Amino acid sequence: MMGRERIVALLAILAAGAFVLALRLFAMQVVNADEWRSEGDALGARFTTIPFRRGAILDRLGRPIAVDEDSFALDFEYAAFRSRHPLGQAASVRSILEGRIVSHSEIAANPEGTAVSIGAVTPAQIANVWIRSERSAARVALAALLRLDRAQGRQLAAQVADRSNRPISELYASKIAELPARLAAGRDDLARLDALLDRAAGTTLGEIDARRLRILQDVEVRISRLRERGGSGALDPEDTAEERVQRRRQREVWLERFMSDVSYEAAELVAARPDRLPGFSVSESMTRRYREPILPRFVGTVARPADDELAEAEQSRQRVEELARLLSPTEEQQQELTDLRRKLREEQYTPGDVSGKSGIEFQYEDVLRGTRGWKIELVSRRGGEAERVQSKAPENGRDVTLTLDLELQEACERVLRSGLPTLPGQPIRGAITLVDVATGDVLAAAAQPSYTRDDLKDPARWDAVRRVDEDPRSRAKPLSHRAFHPYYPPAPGSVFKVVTAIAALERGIVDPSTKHLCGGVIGTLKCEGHHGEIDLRTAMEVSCNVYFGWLGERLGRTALQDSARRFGFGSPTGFSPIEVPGSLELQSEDLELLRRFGIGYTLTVTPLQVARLYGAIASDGRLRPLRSVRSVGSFELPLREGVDLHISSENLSILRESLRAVVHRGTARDSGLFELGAAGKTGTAEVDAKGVDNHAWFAGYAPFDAPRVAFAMYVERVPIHGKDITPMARALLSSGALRPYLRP
Amino acid sequence: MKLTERLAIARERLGAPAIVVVAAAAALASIGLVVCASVDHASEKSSSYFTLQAGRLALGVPACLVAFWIRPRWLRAQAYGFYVACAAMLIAVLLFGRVVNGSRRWLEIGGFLRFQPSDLAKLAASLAIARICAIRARAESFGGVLCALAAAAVPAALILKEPDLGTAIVFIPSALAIVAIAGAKRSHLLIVGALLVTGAALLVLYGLHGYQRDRIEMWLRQGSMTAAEKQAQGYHLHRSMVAIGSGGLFGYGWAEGPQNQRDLLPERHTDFAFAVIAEEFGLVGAFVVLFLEAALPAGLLILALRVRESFSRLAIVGIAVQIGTQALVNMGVATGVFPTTGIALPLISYGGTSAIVTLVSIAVALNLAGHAEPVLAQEMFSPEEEETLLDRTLKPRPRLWNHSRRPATERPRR
Repeated sequence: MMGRERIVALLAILAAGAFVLALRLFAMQVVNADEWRSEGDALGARFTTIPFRRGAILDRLGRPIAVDEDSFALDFEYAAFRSRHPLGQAASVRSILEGRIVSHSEIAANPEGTAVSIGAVTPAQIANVWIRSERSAARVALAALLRLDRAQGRQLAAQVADRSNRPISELYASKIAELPARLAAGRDDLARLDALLDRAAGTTLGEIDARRLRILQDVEVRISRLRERGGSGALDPEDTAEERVQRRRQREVWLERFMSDVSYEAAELVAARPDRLPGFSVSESMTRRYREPILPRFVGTVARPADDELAEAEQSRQRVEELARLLSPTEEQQQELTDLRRKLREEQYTPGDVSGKSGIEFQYEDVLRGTRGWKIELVSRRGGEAERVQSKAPENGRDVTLTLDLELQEACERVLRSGLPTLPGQPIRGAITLVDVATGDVLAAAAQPSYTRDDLKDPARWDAVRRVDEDPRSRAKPLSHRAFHPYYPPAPGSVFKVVTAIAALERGIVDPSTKHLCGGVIGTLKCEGHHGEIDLRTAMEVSCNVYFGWLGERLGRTALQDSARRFGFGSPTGFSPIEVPGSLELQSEDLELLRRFGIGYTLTVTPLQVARLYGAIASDGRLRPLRSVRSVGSFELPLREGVDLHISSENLSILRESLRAVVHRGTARDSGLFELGAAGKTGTAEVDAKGVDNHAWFAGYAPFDAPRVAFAMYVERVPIHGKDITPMARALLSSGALRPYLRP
Repeated sequence: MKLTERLAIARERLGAPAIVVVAAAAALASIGLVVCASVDHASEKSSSYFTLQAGRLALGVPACLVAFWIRPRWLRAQAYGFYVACAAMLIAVLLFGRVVNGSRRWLEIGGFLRFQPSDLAKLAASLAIARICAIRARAESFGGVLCALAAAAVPAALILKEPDLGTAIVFIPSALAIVAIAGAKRSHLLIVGALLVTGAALLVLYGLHGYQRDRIEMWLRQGSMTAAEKQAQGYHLHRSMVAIGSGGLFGYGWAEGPQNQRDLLPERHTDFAFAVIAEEFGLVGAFVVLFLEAALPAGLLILALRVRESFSRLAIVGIAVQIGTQALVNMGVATGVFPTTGIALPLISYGGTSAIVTLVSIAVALNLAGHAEPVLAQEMFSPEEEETLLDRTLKPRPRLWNHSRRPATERPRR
């Protein structure tokens, strides 16, 4: 019979269907189980980054100048605050039922009023809330706010379902009576946190309100879109996919860095009272600390990454999304995706990061920066206990060891700050530089006026510093470091005469015995005295302008400029990328200009260039590029040979002897530097012809017999002469910090 | 007749397949409660799926006894009446129904009785179509076939409008099976099959909502979903497959499945209950459920084989195919064999109407099988009588068929 056969056929179809399903289940649960399991682990996982320690900046002896220290940061999760803090719960209930955003501050200001308005709520009002999820949110928040137990919670749900019109104050009178005290206690907990954070009471709550507004904007948009469609409380099925993604994003945004570098007391309060301060959590982070007050201009600063640095990560993120959407990515695209993901996780800047903004911090950013670590934990959608699945430890940044000697640097700064006896009470504008003659290591580079880290931290003080710097009437210019990028690059004056001397000797224009008559004046240039018939050595000793002006004339424009260039002027020394090179401009062959160039007037230089030149004279006639960094991590930067200036040893010894004579019986004979074993040259570069507005220079090296360090210092625009700043050199050379360098 | 007598007779007549059916139903309902308890364990809601579902199942037991006790004759006589009533309720749902999750599926009566008429309509349609096709001559005519299919199409279309594609789909295979078993000509079946395929194709091409089309697309390339799609259009499918696949051979254990416990699996107590079972009890648990879900309709079909009386046989087949289709499609959706659609897993998925109606359907089928004359292939009504069926549905029928083999003296008299 046909019906019978067809029933058997149906049975066969049923069996076949079951068989197919059985095969499928076997394939999924036995053959591919591991793949699905790892896929499952990837879902619902929480990704956390672990900060790296930024490399330290050390002085040449390994003393810390800038280091990352462990500190505490305060994180905040709005969702947890809203559902567990009484103020959050009250704000949530009232906002939903009143149809406006009721701020936490408003509730904190008036706990009694809130208790009254919540007491007036009826279950029917909750039942009338239009959006389903909001409706249940209001009920759950109310139950939590009133601390209803499970049975009472169910009772409340039943009352909502019944649309009861009795107010809450009647239904749960005792609970409502407790409410003002609970709200006030919640407010006081936050005020205690404010006090420990050194802020006015209510600040934290205000910030939470601001954050909440930002989060709610998104939700508001969603709700209004639904309302426009006139849809029901439930979300349209077509929306759910998009909404789900949005909600996920929001969750990610919700855990935020609230404050970094908080005090131990504040961190302890939050950690000890998770139930009193829900939503807050303490995490460990890094804070950059500097040895004060040293060289902010040179060492530099760190701050939140710049927008373009952050934009890089954003670009990667977009590209990752693009690649992730591809159905069948090629091998290269797969590789690119993996690389970009790694970069995003470990390398690229995130808003919580810092990046070097200036100085060494900026220059060596790539070295100092480490790579972030991360961990992936499995978490439930509600947060809660986590299980670590995968992690990578952070790689700390590498240390940068500078050539600077911290003590010496401080000694130089002290010397500059203590002023000069000839300029009592007047702050010095100038710089001191110290260079190791054998290596070109810059041991110290101090300048005044400057600013300190404290100025950088305090916006008001920083504004004041900037105002001074931008003031056209003020010559202070604290933002320019006079050792290597002076705002007004100074003329070297007589310290330049060594260049003129060597150029003339090498070209055979003079020999050590050639005499020239100094009558006190040459062209418009005047001399300090009438020196009479003098040779080169004496001219150097007494710093005779007539003699060197005459040499300038004889050498001519090309020879002068070439020699200056050969001795390192007009180009950076290699110390810092923001160095000012100075100018060697010489407009014409005009004799007047040649004479002035010959005595170091028309060109501009930096103290570092001068110190380098004296270092070359002091050592073996090699001009070494200066360096600021000795080693990066464990890698010692190789020393560079420098350029051999090809000064004959005869000429070199003539120069050295004359520099020795300067401090012995010449312009600096009263300085006491001879006794300290130094040699050097004074210089006075007139800014105007009256002789009361000069750059006063002193440059030299020590010890004379076996030179170890070369130095150059100048004071900007003062009514004194080179010989008047020798007390600074004396103070420096006799300081304990320099002593180890002077020993043979 | 007393219920105890009925049960005794039934046991004698129904035999092993019925025991299988009852045992499978009981086992599945218990497993459903286990799933509910596991979902409760993961949920922080104060309401408990376990208690609610247990209460409904408890309500289903007396309903079953009633369904088992009523006379098939009455059932047959009222088949069209039920059908019309259900159709009316479906229309009422579209007009005043309660909206849940974007669909209008619920009817509320008096504020406390809440149910989905679409579930009731499945049973009513089976009975009505069985009655239409019970007459051999009609079943063999093309008009009769079309009439039977139309009877299925009307509630299906109303349910599709709710929208509830999953439930609507179930009507078609059940109607087709009844028509085929009733003796429709092969050519007619082929034509109808071709029409249905065309209709389905048109529906897929033009009639689907955007999200439904997305789901079909995701299903077609389930192996190569992008990360974004796994979070959006392909979310249900992907999560369900992750849950099932990661269950492995023995599963994570009760209330230990990460996808379930972390609230990542959508609709885990209703449409994706199978994924919870597969995740927490592994391949072993999944096979047990698969076996039980297949054994239930298989037992009913075997019972149908013994039944000679047309209406009863066809109604049993209709109910069996409904349950079987639901079970296979639900598990197929969860494992990615079929595109994602919301359809309950019989007796396991949480849901009052569905569970009670499934239990009642099984009871009705057993009732019909237990009463049916095993040897005589008698028609209950003559074709002429059937032509004015709608007028007569409410009137008492002349007794033409002895539904009991007991001596005439013991027959109930009217």
